[in-house]
Formats: sequence, C-alpha cells, structure tokens
Amino acid sequence: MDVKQIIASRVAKELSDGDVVNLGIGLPTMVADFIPPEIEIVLQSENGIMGMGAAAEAGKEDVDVVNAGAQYVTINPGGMFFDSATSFGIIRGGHVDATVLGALEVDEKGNLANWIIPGKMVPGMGGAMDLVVGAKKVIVAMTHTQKGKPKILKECTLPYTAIGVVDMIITEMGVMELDESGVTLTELHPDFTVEDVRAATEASFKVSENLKPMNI
Amino acid sequence: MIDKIKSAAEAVAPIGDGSVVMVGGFMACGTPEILIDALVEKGSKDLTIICNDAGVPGRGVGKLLSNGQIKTLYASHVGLNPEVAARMNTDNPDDKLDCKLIPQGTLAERIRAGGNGLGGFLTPTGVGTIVAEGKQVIRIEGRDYLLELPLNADFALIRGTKTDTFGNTIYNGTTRTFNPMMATAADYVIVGTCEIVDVGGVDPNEVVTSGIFVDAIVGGEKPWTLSK
Repeated sequence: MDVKQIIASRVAKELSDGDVVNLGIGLPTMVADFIPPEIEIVLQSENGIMGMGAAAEAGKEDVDVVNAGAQYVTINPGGMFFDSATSFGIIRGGHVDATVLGALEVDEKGNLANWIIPGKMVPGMGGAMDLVVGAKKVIVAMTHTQKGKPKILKECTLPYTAIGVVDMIITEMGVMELDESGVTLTELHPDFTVEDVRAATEASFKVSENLKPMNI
Repeated sequence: MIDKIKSAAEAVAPIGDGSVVMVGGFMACGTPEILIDALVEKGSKDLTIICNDAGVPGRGVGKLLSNGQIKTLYASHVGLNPEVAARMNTDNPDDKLDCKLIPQGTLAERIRAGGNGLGGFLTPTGVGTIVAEGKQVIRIEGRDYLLELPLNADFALIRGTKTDTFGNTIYNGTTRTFNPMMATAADYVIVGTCEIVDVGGVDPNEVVTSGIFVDAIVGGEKPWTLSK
C-alpha cells in the first residue's frame, strides 16, 4: 500500500454500519474503496445526493449525476437527490455521522485550516466550513507533513476553516485523537517510532498508555 | 395563460449592465448554458453574479468571466477556474474582480431566506473565522451563531430538465443544486430547459419549482456533459 492507501484504509475502519458519511475530494474519496463488504455506509455528496454509489462505468454514465468533484457517479438503490439548501440542512443539522477531509494545518486545540493560503491559493471554502461544524465526527485524513514541514501545529498559521472541530487525525504515521485534554497518539504505524512522530509534529501530544499498531 | 416561451436572446434582453444575476448549478452541472451563451452574446457589463462557483473556463459562469462581464462574484468555491485568481489579483482596476467567498451552506440558505421572506438566519458555520468579520454573533443556549442576511437578485438563470408551458419544472439528478432556491429569490426568473411540454405534461408530484416563480422559458438546453 502507498501512503494514501494506508491512510484511506485506516479511515475506513472508523466507519460503522449505517453511518451517513461525507468524503472530501481527493484522498478522502479513496476511503470508499476500503469499506469492508459487511459494513454498509450511506454516502452523502453535498451537491445533492444521499446514497451515492461508485464511480460510473465508462459508457454507462447518467450525465445528470455527478459528485462534488464533478465526476460521473452512480446512485445506490434507496438513494435520493435534493437541492443545496436541503443538502446543507442535512449537514449543519447533525445528520452526517462523519466527515473525512484533508487539511493544510491542524492545531492542538482541534482548529482546522484547509481553505486558503492568503496571496497564494484562494480556492474558497466550498462546503468545508459547514461540514466540519455540522458533522458529528470530523476526521482529518492527510500526509503527516508537507515537504517535511509539520502540518500538525501548536497553533494554525493559516486562516481557520473552523475552531475546535477536529476529532481525529489519521496520517501515514499513525492516529491521533483530540479532545479537551489535547492530542493523544493512539496508534503508530510499525514503520515509525514515537520519536519519529514527535520530530514530524509541532503540536505537543500525549502517547496513549494503550498505544496500538496502526489498524490498516 | 401568459405566453412565457421565448428565445434565449429575448429572455435575457432585460438583463442590463450592473444587474444582479443568480445562476444555478454546481461546477456547471445544473447551469443553463444556453442562457449563459445568450448573456455572453448580449454582452451586459458590470454584472454581480451569485453562483455556487465560477464554473471552469468555457463552462457555466466561466464564460461570463472570460468575457469580462462580471464585476462582483458571490461564490463558495472558485478553485477550478484559474481565471478567478488572476482577475482578483490584477493591478488593472477595470479588470479587477470583487470575489466574495461564502460557505456553501450559508450561500444556499441566504438565497433560500431571500426567496422565503426571512430577515436572515443564525448559523454556526464560520464562527471564529474570517467569515465572521463584521457580522453579529448571537449566543443561543451556550452556542455562538453568525447572523447571516438574505440574498436576492434582479434575475435568476435556472436550468430545468423538463418544464411545462406554465413554468412548472423538474430537475434530474444532481442538476437541482441551487436552482429551486434561486427561482424564488429573483424578480425575473428565466428557465433554460431540456424539454418543454404542455401543461399537464409533468406530474404535479414531481414538480420542484412551481410555474408561479417563472417568467420566461427557453427550450433547447442540452444534456450536461463533462467533456466540452
């Protein structure tokens, strides 16, 4: 497995049968490939789908059905379409069990920055601000560092997407859980030591007494 | 019954310079391209466009941007149209785009509020971020919310899948997006639709937008495709 597959595979283990889940564009989308067959989750796509299915087979696309990344997808039996106000009512209303998304920076207070690098990249927040505020569980799935620089910081330097919302960070090095007491390393990938993680992390974190090998 | 069927050029004729125009769709899926093309042809300038995103170059509102018709853009995401960043950062004041980024759920709800007679709404989205700058924060039962105000427009460009001659419209799949809310929030609503049928030709159980909201109907909208 490559780094992205390791991360996506571990995220998939966090999801439970019946969960309503929104997966962000990019790496988070890969999580769907790692859901075991006995677990049935309901994927929500913020452009207006509940019960989103797999990518559409070439030549068999329904041209009116795309995901939030504008790729042709399918809808599962039992699914439905809705407008954007309804979609974000579902999201803000706490009806999404988990959202998985990438980050530019996360800090030890659970603050998230993932929508703008002032003066350099201004893509906009899209649905991210609503998703992280509304979803019951916010899972950040990302590489641990960016070109060797830590992304898990004492304090975000970029403008926030939201404050105090991140519940879990899953990287190729392991799993960190966040709560009022701060950040705790709960799982470690066997290729790395706790010292490796400390060297790649600016935020202070505790190591769980029950530190486990990363469940991938 | 008022005859609402028009050509695209006739339908967009009232959209003058400086108009505020809502455009449905998400990454151009659900955007009425025939109406955009007619507006490009008409060449109205200094438009304020309210749309989920900036489309992509050559698609959706991206065409209006490339043609230099947009002065102000309200959107939630502009990352897939590199022209937006170039126009936001230009030193030429005539070319400069005023881009107001709004969280997608807040944008949808502001339009819904505009069309539904609400003076605004309270949302937890954006609290503690730069989105909150200049906005009233109201604490209710221990949680902070931002007061967000309604959005309305002079015109809305809506994309339908099937529309009857009264304007009753249904939307297939993910083309629905912002269209139903925008149809309620603008003074003059134009539907670009794939198929026009007689009244009675759409099942009332399936109608999403009532004809009462629709002022003009333009046929000939093509099925949405990724390639183009």
